[in-house]
Amino acid sequence: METSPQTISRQIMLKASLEKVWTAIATPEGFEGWFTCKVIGTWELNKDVILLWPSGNSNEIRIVALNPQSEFAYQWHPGGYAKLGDFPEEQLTTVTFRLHSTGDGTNLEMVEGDFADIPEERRLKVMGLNTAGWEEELENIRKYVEA
Amino acid sequence: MSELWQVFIALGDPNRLAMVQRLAKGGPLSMVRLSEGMNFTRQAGAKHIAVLREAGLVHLTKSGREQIVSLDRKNFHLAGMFMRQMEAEWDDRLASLKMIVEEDPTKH
Repeated sequence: METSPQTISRQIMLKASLEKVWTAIATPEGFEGWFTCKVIGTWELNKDVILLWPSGNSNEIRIVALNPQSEFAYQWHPGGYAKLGDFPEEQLTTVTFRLHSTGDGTNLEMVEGDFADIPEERRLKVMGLNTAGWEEELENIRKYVEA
Repeated sequence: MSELWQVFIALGDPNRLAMVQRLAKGGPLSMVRLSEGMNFTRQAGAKHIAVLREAGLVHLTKSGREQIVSLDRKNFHLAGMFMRQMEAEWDDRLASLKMIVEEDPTKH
């Protein structure tokens, strides 16, 4: 498992069969349920899909791995609402889910990374710190604390 | 370790933001100097500093009879705040997923 500080990883045990977990994660109907969005587009490997949130905002994701009952992965610009082309490619993060069957359920491993290339001003926006003037103030603080 | 919401509340007040700015530009300052020229009473100033301290943004040290306020470099880390927010979003999503897949269809 990756352990970079710029990576998020989680591992959870689910008391549900591999088939059920796979359906929930890697099919549009299942994904919609826990991601609380509507999926628009063709859910296939290397396809771009729109996630439409109840608020009317959307994110665009690219499916980059779809290995039945084993691995599902997509890429996006995390935090906020963005299409794939809205920011440079190197700022995309990859979200990977790996499933492992255990005796009484499914072990789900989730990794999102790498966040290292996301510039500070976008991080601030994602955190809601986009009020006019704040960025400059926080930049001053950053300069001071990193001096 | 302070929580993200505490950081936001602490920075969401113009007086406290002004204090943080002053500390960022002028370095560690006594409580009195930090509140100088600000539009609030000394008591209110002490309260603001307490909120900033709770959020882990500043720490206090004693110098003679004065309290010195300085920015806490360790906790004032924006990249860390961002990562904590992203992590919280995943924890919420994965909790929903767990609820959905572990739901027993025979029970209603």
